[in-house]
Amino acid sequence: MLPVEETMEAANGIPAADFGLVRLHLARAVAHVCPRAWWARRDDFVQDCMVRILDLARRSEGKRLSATYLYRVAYSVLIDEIRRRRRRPETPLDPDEVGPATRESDPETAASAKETGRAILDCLSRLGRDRRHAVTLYLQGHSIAEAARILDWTAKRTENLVYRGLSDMRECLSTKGVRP
Amino acid sequence: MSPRVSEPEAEALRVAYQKLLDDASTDDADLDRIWGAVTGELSPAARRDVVEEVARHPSWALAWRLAHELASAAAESKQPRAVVSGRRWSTLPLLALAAGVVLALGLGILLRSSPRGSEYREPVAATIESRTPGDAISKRNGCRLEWAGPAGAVFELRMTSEDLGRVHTAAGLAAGAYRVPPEFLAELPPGSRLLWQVEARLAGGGRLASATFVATHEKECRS
Repeated sequence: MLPVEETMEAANGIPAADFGLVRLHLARAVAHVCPRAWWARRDDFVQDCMVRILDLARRSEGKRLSATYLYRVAYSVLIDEIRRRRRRPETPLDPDEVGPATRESDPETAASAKETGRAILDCLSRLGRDRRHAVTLYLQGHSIAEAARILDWTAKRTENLVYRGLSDMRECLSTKGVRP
Repeated sequence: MSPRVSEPEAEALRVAYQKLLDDASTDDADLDRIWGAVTGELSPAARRDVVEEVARHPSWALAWRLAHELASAAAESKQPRAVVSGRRWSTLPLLALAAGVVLALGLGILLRSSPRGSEYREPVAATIESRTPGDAISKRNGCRLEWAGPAGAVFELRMTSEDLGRVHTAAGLAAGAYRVPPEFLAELPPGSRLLWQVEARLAGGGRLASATFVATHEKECRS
């Protein structure tokens, strides 16, 4: 195997290490959202994003870019790439290019997962606004403390709203015959 | 009142909700508002308005998830930088401290490139140790960094200058040695230090990361 070597340098006041970190955080984000059909090409996806980020950084001559700005740019670029690829879905030619098998490989299971998803959205929409907000952030993976900060509520109030909202969700889903 | 939802039930809901996003588009999501809400730039009322959209639209939910991921990464990458920037490391204890900070900041985070769930460290007491003579990159050792690690592993090496201005990576290394490219050293003052770390992909699967090592480079290796 031939070694692959790469050197990154600072651009517009941003240390190379920042670009390296952005690349790796992008890789992590992509790994979390990457559909199976893109799995084998996720590195290309990250590379495409990095090319655009570096290009933007180089073009902003004279303007000192902060690391925060770099991540904001990375966010836009990542979303743009997802939009672009959704419009032109790529079908892998080689079955081995598809990602690791999941339970959704089975069409029946996939249909059931979609039905559950629709039921969750419907049940969320039936919650009171505050409970819906608390539960949404919880389902997104935020901790109670994070959700409280975002919603500007106390942790106690947020926690109550999350657990009452989740109980409502369970009840709503059971009336639909859905059990996640 | 119905009994409280158990942790496994809540987790199952979370997983089912996340699956919703697998096929979501992001076409109608307002990225500026979402980023502003996630980073706290918007007012609380405006943040709640965004969360309302996230609750209703999978496209917003997916965009929120990515924003959260990258905004957290931005915050993570910013914190230790404030400690390191502009510092001159003149003593060994400071150097050790700074190397530790850089480990967390640069190479440590750099090496956490795989998805969180798949991170893996070898459970046995395998280690990677520096074998660079005198911790110096010099003509005497062929301007190489050297290390010893598990047999059969393939290594990835990352190194950075002290100020993080230059980063170099080399992947797919079968031997425990790597000649530092003169071009990489050319821009660095003689006697300056490099921080380097090696990650092994083990023959039996899994990964093993070394500690961060420090090496001084000598002028003679710059050309």
